[in-house]
Amino acid sequence: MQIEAKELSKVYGNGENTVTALNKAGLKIEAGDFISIMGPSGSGKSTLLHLLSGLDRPTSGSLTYDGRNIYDFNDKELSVFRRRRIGFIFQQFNLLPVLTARENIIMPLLLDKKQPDEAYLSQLTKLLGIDNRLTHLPHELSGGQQQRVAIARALVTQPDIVFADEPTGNLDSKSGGEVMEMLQNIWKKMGKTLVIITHDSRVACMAKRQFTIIDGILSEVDAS
Amino acid sequence: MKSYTALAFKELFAQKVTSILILIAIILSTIATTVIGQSIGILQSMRIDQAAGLNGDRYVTIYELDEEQNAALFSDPRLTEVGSKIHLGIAELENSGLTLNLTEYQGDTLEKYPSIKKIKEGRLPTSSGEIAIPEDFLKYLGFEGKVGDKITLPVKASLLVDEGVPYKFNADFILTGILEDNHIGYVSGSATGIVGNGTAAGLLPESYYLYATDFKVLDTKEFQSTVYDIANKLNIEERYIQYNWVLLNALGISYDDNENLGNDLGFPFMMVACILVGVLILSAAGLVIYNILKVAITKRIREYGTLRAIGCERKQLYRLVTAQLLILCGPGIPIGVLLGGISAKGILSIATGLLNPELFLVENTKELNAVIAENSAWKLMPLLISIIITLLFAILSSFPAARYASSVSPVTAMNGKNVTIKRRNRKQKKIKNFEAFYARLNLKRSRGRTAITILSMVMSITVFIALQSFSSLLDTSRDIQDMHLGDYAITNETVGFSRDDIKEIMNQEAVESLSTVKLSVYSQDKNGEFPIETDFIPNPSETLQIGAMDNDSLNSYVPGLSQQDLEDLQKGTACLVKNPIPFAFEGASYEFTEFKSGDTITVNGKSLRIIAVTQKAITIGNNGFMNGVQLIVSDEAYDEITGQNTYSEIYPVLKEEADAEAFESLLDEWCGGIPGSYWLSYRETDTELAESYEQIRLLCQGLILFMGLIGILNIINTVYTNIHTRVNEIGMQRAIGMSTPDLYKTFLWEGAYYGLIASAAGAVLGYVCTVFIEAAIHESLQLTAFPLLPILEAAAVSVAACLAATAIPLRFIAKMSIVESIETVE
Repeated sequence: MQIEAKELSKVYGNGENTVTALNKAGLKIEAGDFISIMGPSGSGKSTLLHLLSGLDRPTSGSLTYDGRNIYDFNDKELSVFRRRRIGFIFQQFNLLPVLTARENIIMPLLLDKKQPDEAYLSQLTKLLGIDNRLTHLPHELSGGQQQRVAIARALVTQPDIVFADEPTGNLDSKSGGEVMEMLQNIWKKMGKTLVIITHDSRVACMAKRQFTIIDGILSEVDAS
Repeated sequence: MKSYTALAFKELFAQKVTSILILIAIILSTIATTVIGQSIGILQSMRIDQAAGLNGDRYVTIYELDEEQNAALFSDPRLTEVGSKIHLGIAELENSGLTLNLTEYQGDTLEKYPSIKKIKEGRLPTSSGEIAIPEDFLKYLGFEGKVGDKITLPVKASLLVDEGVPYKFNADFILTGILEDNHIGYVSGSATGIVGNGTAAGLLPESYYLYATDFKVLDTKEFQSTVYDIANKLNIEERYIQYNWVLLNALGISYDDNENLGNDLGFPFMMVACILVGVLILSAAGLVIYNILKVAITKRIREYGTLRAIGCERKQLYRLVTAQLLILCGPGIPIGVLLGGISAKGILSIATGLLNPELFLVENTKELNAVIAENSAWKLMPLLISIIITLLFAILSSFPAARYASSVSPVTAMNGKNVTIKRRNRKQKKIKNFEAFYARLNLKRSRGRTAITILSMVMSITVFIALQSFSSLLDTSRDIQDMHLGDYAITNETVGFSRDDIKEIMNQEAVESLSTVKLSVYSQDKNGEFPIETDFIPNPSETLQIGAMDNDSLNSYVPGLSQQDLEDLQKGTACLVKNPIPFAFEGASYEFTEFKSGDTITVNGKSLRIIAVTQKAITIGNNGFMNGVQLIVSDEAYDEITGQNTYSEIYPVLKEEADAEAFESLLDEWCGGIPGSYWLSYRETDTELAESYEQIRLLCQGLILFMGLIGILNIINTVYTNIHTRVNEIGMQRAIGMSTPDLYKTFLWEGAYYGLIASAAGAVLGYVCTVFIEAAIHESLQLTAFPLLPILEAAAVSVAACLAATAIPLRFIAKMSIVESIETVE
């Protein structure tokens, strides 16, 4: 799978109130990449992630997945695309409070009218260390456990790519470290493509490719 | 968890308060639709039964058929319940203008005419030469014999189109039975006499021996074409075909000659009233459901955003939201149906009690209630329609919220940036009362929600004020009812009571006061003339009645008369008039005499100025008003005009401490001594009336409570959610120094504003409704007294409800720690 973003821009407001959140960002993502995008608050990190994952539409520019511009999709096609090919991990976890951990994890499958592959689900939850927490409600879990449930939810549909928006931002350093370790494991063992937004340089350094974004302008950091 | 829709269940269980509020709204709206559906079902069922009873259980009658044509109808496979009768002729009753239609019903055809065949004494005729006649007609005939005696009638037979002289003959019959009077037929000046089988064959020449054949059509959709085809095949002209429009309209069978469609004896009025009330309640409940769902979804918008982010389609979110409503409909609708079904019969009895029972073709409220009870089995079709309407309204109410949930962008929803406050007026003014100022700003945060909450309360207040006014009008009606002249009516329709008789009753120890009434009824002779001389010619079948009452009663009979008019009335130079009732029978309207105030008439040489036209007639012995012109004059004028001085009815009023039982025993004895006398107690009637009006008032109060509950439901929801969605903000306010009492004040001000704004709008609308209600009753549109008391009551209750709804959840917030409040994720 190859993802290519060309000159993505996002402008909010008009006239004197115009704010350019993202300015002609370009990016190519190959299968198996582990990318980090780092920048200060308000730099446009989350805007870029929302555009790359099809959650939002740009003011201009294009984004192709294997040559298909996803901004040409209608709402239904985009929803199906997101639930089958993209996984999300949010800073606030965004688990549904009324569902148990297991129900939260399998929700993307249920939306697709599918039942979970129990063997894969078991493997995934063991890998994330939450196999004994599946009947718990979100508020009965620690922040780290909640984020691991969110990671399992992102992976349950076996997507091509996982986007993580400040996955450690709401966690203490120990839990944050554990979560990052797990994400690295997933990237290595499961061969998933991973894009992480962060303002933590330690997290950013774990990635294979590193980008920075300042005032909406994206640039790749030369790893060499 | 097999499907994502299970999330709907879990959301409902998680948000118990919201779910219970919606459940209550569903139950209330289902009760309303079920009561209305069942009431309409009962009314419809009554209407069909009454229609069949009134005009015969038949769709069509074809007149003047010969033997062959009659046989053809009996053998037609498209027809059912075919029955024939032969019209023997009419017997005109001297001195009354009334006619007796003599009819021979063949086979079991008479079974289709239940109102005609009610036998009071004896039996129905079975053989040739036997007859049964209504009781009143026997009186008019001057027949003084008994059942089994011979009776001779002058009969006149004619055809619908008869160029020759009618065939006249005198026929001797054996009276086998006396029929109950069927007053409905009297409006056309006729009634039916039943003759035994074979009578017509023995009396009529062949040319008059013709059948009138009743039938129903099996396939009602093909009703008209079947009738036309029969007419065509049997060579029958249109004028010989009579459609039973009362029954056809009641059954909703379409036919060409349906100009009588709107003439349905009060049923459509009840239905329209039912539907209006239903729409009002459904709209109010719909607003509650919409408001609660919208608020609930706004609170959970981040979750919906997450679902959208992980691939939930818009239509799946739609389903999730509507599924929540449908799940609540699961228990809500059956509970509502059960409660509504149980109350329908009672509510209908009370509601129909508002109307004249004669609209429903019964004579009194007791009979009406009996008819309602007979027809009160569960009506499946109205029940299904009620359920479907409630369900549709509920789903419709959920759509805007579902649409809102599905159309929010996942990014916006997850970022929690859904609250955008618009504030146009940003001028710096001195803030005198911060709590009130902040409350006003809060009302503007969600203008839609504020508007809906206020609207819902306005509806409740409007209904309250309108119904209160309606109830007070009922009080006025009761006052009028209370104006019947005494505790008892002592009647003698034959010889009357003398002045000495009156004195004797007046001298009884138990009697405090006494009123009297005199009445003479004159019928037209065959030349259309009355036994007393008049300077006006009334319409055929109208009577002339001279009535009188004692001066005290006369003075209060028509309120608002000038002193001059009253003096003239007592001097005998003026009179009051009750004009005849206009009527239509089988679609044809009849002309009637109509006098106006200011006209002058002469009766028996006495000139009388009409000072007022009244709707109340003097009637005797609880008999109805026999249609005609009634002149009401003073006692002296009556004696002068009629040449009589006897009283028809006496109305004693007992002293408070009087022994009623002893007085009634005395009345029994006293009446036994004067032939033709009998007495009637109004004491029981008064109690029944009081109960009836109490029931109506209870119904009004029930409706007020119903609408009030819906309004309170809405205010509780709005205030509750307002507070719960602002926990963070409340924590911040407390952190920067706002005390708990200040916090209370802010929200209590908000509640008070809801109550005050709704009361003001409700007062205006309620007043408008009051004006219309009074206009409907008095038949003229005029500004009425401002219903200040109901408005003040409504305002007080509304503000109190709003304050109560605000205070309860606030206690919970005030107890929360400031840190917890601030850290709460909204």
